[in-house]
Amino acid sequence: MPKKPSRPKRSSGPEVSRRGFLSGLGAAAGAVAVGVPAFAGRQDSKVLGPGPVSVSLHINGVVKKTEIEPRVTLLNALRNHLDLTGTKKICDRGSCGGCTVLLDGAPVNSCLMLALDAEGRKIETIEGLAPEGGLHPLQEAFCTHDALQCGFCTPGMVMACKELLDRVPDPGLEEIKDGISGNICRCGTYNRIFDAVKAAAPKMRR
Amino acid sequence: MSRKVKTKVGFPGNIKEIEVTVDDNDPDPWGADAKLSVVGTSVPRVDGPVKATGRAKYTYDIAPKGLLFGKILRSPHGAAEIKSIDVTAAGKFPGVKAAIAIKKKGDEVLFHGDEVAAVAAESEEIAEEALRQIKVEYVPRKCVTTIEASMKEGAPRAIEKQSNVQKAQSQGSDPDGAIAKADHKVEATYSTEVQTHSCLETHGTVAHFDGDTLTAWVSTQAVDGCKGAVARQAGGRQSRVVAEHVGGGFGAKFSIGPEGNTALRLATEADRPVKLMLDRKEEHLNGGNRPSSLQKYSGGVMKDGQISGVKVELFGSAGVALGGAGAAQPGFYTYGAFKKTESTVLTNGGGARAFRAPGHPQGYFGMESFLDELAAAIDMDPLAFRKLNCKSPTHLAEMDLAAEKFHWSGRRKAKSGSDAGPRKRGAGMACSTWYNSGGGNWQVDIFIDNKGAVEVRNGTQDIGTGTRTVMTLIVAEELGIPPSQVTVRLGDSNFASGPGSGGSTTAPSIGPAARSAAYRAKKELLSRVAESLKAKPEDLDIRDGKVTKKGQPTSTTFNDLCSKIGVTPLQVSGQRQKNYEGFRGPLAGVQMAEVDVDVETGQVKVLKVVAVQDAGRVVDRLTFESQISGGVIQGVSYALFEDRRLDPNLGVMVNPDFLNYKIAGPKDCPEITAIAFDVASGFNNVGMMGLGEPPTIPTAAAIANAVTNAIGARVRSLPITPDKVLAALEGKKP
Repeated sequence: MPKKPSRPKRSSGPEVSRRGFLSGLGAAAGAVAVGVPAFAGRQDSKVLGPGPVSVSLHINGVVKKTEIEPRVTLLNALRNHLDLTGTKKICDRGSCGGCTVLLDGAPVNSCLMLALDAEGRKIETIEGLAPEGGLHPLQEAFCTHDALQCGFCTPGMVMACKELLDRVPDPGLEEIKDGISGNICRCGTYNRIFDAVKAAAPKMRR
Repeated sequence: MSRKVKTKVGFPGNIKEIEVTVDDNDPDPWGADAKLSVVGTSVPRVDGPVKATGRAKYTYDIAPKGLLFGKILRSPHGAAEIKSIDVTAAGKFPGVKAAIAIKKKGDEVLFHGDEVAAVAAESEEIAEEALRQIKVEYVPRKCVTTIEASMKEGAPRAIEKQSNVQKAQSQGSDPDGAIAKADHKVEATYSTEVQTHSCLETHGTVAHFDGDTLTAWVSTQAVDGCKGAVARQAGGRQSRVVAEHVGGGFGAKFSIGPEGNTALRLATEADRPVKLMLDRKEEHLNGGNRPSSLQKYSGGVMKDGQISGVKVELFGSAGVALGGAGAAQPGFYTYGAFKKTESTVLTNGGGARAFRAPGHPQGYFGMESFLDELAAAIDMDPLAFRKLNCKSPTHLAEMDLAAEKFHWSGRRKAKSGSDAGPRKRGAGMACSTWYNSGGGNWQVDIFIDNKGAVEVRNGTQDIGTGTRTVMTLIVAEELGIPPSQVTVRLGDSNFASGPGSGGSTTAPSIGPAARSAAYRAKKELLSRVAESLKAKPEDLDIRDGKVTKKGQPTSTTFNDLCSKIGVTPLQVSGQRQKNYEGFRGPLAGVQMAEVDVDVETGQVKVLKVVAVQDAGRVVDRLTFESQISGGVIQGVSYALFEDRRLDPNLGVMVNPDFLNYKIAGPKDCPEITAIAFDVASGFNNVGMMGLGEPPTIPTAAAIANAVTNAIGARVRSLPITPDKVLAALEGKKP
């Protein structure tokens, strides 16, 4: 399910949802069916796999190519094939938000999506927010407000907060809670995160 | 050699001077009147940027060249005997480089998730697929999954060679007589659920033989505690344990665990590096949990509010673990006579592990609920009742402060359940304590280079508690330099041994050692310039980056001192000294909570929590407040949501994920006010104590008491779910 059904479409790319993923696998440009008979009759689908296939992904403004099996999730592709380990695997079932990345500007659980389905889309990960050695205003606010403890949920939280502020430039407390309600923090830093989002909002509006 | 030093300890209004014996290698303790510039302020966590940018490397992120991925096959049964096991096909599966049996024919599996076999393969996906090639024949047998079922006459045994109810332990004197003489007698039974630690970084290890060294990156809260297992597997070779960043521990990560040992075996077998991290389901099944409890209380109270006696009968289940299922009651109340009998009950569940204040949240839920029931029996305000029966000065002072900040008299309903309409508010409270002021003779090493950069090293780990930050501030304070000039490196067994992160002892154990090392480094640097400054070394100090002579700044800076160091950095070590006698015993905490309960749906919402907490000297107010807030939120989660459920017949966990095993999320957070109750503890040269555990102890009890105040009925079972609220309302009379 989309996390926020009211979210406006932010690009001409196809909207990704779990339902769409389940019913329309193969319909999206560059997407594949994994040799499952139910999909075999589709005119616009081609069968790939089960062996590795080449994939090129547009990540943080750079096109990266790798060879992966079609069953590999976007999360595993980032972490295990592209050395982008900032995105965390926590539940692997789309219920914790730890693997949140932005796809054409919208937040998705990268554990619930195949890497091949992300071809042709703009992927933004935690590593792309600020140049090495620098901090995005939101990351800076997370630090100054101590909005992190063990830090394992933090990359996913930061990405969810960024998308929220891109969409709602001056959110109230309830809007912030709604905006990150798909993200879990076991250390219990939530209240600090609310403060960090409030503090970062005016800087991001500039 | 040592010297006698007078130091002030305590809190404003309760300060006393004590004389302590200080080792000559150790600085004078920072007393209640110490003037400090960095320690005690709010400083952002030093590892914030590396974590917020995703650049921090956790065990999960380590990927040596040639890495294989390990996966464990686990028992699908609550209890079974293994008739046969065959990993041959899995070993031949394309991409698999090692397949090992963990159990053998004739072995028993004792719970859903017990380790059976494992593989290492070229990818996570292949490893997972290869598990299905392992052939295991089980002969399932009957299992027991709850305390009640396990205690029933004729219940199947959880472990064949052990009786389900382990021998009861008793402590205290018999209160029957005292209770019989009381004006009012009260009896109540409480129960608490199994809570899994649910660290967001699951347990796991990356094992890598590189040349003559076996390196194990372990997601652990005890680098020191993992060294033995890695050294054994290394055989004659060198071994090393690394845990630079750890994604939460909460008590579940003290050893390398079965998964770590499996990773070591697979790496040996395959002769390739292996990463084996548990998935979320495995983490719930065998990544540790807080035992369930069944607590029977009887007690008596006099008309004037004095408690005359309390008797507690406790049963706790740590699953297949043979101990550790006890529940602790607060010791700072005057109970009159008090007796407790405690039994461990075996069930077919993953073994419990230490979990943030082991035994305390459950025992305090029972006892602090029972205190409210005793107070209600004589129609007394629970705050007044606690004050009357409390003997700890720190608690008494904190209760007054909490009541003022929370506005207890305004929020507490004089008559429970008296709000009109379906949404009812109520307020409740509970107290806590903790014991540890640290210890051990840990060594901290300091390296200072000729540019003035200070590096501090110890093997201990920072599991998100702020150890790195606390050590940075202490060293900066002692050296009289800004924290930005200090780098603390932790989580590596190549450094001097450090404490495991347990019992809230890490910071008070290693913090004073860091101060000691900094003090000795400072003395060394100052002794080198004493002559040129025409001063006795003991008249020199460093403040704000400048050398001072009898308290007056000179033109010589810390960096000037360092510029003479040469190419090899100055290396100085400091040792943690023994604890002084200190100010008083345990530390104190008080929490007050306000809830809103919908009596039509049974939904409970926590609106506000005020937490007053003493942690000895607070080193960093920002990380202090974060610990409190985190402890409270985990307490909210324990009180309202978390519940590991096993199928009573099959023993299979039915909610091993984050969809059905509920953890408090952003929308469940109350407004939290964390108030530091500063106490110069006097136990060590910093005066600090630990904070990890205490703030999560009283939260569930305070919420349960607030729910009763809101609806006029009591839920005596955690988690307080809507069905239990509605049932309590139907049963009426609490």
